[in-house]
Amino acid sequence: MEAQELALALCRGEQHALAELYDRFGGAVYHFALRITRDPSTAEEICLDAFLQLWRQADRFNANHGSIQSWLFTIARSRAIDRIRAAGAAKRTEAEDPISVNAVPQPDETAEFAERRELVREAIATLPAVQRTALELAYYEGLSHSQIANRLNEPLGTVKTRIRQAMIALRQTLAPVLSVTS
Amino acid sequence: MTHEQIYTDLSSYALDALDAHEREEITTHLAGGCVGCERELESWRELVGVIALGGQDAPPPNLKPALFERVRASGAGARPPATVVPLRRWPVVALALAATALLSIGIARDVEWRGTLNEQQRMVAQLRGDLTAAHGNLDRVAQQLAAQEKDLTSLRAVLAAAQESLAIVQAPGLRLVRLKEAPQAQPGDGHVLISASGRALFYAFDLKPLPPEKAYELWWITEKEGPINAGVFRPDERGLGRIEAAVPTDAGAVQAAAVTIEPAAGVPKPTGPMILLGNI
Repeated sequence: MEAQELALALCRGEQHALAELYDRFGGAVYHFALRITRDPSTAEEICLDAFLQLWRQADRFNANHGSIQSWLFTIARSRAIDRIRAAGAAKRTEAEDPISVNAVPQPDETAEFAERRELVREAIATLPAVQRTALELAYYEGLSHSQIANRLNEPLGTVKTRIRQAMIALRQTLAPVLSVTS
Repeated sequence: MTHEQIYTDLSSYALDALDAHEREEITTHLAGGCVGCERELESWRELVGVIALGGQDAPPPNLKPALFERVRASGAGARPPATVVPLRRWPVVALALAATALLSIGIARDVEWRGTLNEQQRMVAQLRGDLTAAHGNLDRVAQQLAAQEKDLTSLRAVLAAAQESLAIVQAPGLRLVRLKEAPQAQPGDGHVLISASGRALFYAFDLKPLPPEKAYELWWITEKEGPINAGVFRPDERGLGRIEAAVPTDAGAVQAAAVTIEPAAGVPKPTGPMILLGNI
């Protein structure tokens, strides 16, 4: 079943749709939350909260404004960033890259999803190291431009440029998997 | 902030990486109903969501049952089925009397009700027709609006790109680096404009079209790290390739720029044939 069909089934209150979405994206959401929080129990809570919010607010989903997986990960990221900001945990010294070591395919993963995941990994890996580092500090640690500039001891303008260049490059490379493009 | 600055910062707004005062300014601007910025922001938010797809772990096996336990406990989301109220067991006599009374009234008013019912059915049919027509008109207007918004967004993107290019060209200390065909490569031509602030604008000409799985990739050849990816691109129908890039500042001197043919997603280090090369 397509992701958008699953969204409609969610709106109708069909739990099998939630189960299918979990089977498809649960591993990625958990991994994502774990990468941000570095704490398995917190990652589990965020994963549960994200899927529960998807279930409760499925009627707010609008396919014209983005894909359901993007919405799901946005919910998860927002909650995870809130957690680490609240805990003051954004003091880690370097951005790790568990993507490169923990990208384990799951039995329920579809070929299309696996291909999409691989494309994202390649796109991130292809970024110049300085751009990737700045982007990951914003993305996974929730740091602002100023905080990143302080962390890296770089001028604020340089950090802004690196992040923007990275985002532009990713949007260009990942255009085939984006349901909303400029 | 100008509108263009706001438009440029939308990617960082989607990342939630702006400082508070910048964020508030953009939030206020969006609340004013700028359709182009809203659409641009949606595309960045989509990207922010998709980036997270890069990783995958086996979640703890108890997580899925825990999710459905919470779904059941919350009751939210599941739409309640239509409820059926059981018929109460009225005394038989009272029920018979009530049925008789209703039957009498029903017979007396049957003709009148039928007439009223027919009239109401005609009105409902008319209203349904009007509603369907209104929906059709609304859909057409929405499609036209969406098409115009898309055009506007495209124009804004083109304008933003042109302004960025102009900013590079107008910046002081501009350098021009010519790229020529690499040894054993087909004849080719290109150049890079590099501003003193490290922003660069690359153009290549008469490039051959590539199969869908391939793309051209621009490289900075640096003193300390060797080739550093500056971005992938595909030429347009005229064979013109264009890309904006930042010149690396922490990899030692940038000695040259080069273009190779690589897989469409790009690669961290060059693997394909070199097409263009120019010393900086």
